[in-house]
Amino acid sequence: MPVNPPELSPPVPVVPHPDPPSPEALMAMEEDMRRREVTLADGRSLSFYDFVPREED
Amino acid sequence: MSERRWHPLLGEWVVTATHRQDRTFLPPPDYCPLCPTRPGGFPTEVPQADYRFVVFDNKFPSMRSPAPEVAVEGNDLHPVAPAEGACEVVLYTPEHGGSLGAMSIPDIARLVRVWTDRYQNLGARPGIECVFIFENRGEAIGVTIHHPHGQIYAFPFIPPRIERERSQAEAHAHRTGRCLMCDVVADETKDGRRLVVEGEHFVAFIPFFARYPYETWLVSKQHRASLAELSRAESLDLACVLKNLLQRFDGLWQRPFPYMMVMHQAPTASSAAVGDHLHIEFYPPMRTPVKMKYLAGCESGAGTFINDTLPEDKAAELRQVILP
Repeated sequence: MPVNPPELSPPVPVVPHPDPPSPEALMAMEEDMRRREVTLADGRSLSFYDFVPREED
Repeated sequence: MSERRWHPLLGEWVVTATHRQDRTFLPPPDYCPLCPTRPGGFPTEVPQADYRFVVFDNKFPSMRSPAPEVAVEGNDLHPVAPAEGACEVVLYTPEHGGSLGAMSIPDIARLVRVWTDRYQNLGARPGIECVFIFENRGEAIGVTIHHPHGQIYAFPFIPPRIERERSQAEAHAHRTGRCLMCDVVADETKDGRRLVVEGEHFVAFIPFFARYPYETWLVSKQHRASLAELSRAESLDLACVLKNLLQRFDGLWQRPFPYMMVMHQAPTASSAAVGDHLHIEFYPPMRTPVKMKYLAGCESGAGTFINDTLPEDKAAELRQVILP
């Protein structure tokens, strides 16, 4: 008489994790973001975003 | 010409934008309109020799403010409205040959902050209800300029896909008292078979109900309604998981992987609902390196997707990609 094999639980996948943030990435989050609006002669406007080290109070 | 026309059978707006027929189409790299204007070079849309990130109105917008006069008169059955709103272009880098996935994690983290600022800025404008951030990548999905860039549409209404998602979330919250996406994330992380990459604050997975073979969602593990609610640590983790995922896409077949990337977050016209949960959905149009997943009769005509693959298998493929 055939016997059903015991039910196997699905294999647990090994889920990749991103590398921890580098010191540069951590520093980037401390920068000040500055938006500079420029309006051209034809009326179009552009928003330039720059990032600079945070100024101390 | 640009206007909104009401689709009475589906109960949703269709935007006409006839001027877009003439938009820039696959210019040669030397004449890319999104590169900086080099000294002595041809004038691009950015009249500076360099930039970090720059955002400007799309030259061929489907919505703008003030909107042009409507081309035809509507009636009770066929309402017509001006196509008010905004369509912006976000340039990720001055490098023509770059890509979002090739950017450094610090630069992607900076881009997250730019996205957040545009979400808040556009969302504060009168009449804007929903700020929709997206990127189309690759000629397979109709990209007409290869320079790395994304787009933002500021809608004067909540688009139907997002409205339907919110309606489902509201029904779930009414039934269970919980956020639907929080429950989806909890179920996916517990099951594990469809996970692609997991960070401290964000997780990427192919959802149980994926419609495209490599459809992948990148979701905040904590309940966050929008980019504006992210802490700095969460924004940075979003950048880390996003880069990791995009590298897996490009590494899968060792070629640039086309995709539509769309961000869903709380509409801006009112306070967030319980089911508004920040996430990014990717719809890659390829099912093999040489075969597309077409939205054919059943998908387009009936609204029912046929997925030729199992999400569990595709997630395993993406997990196995060896990163550079």
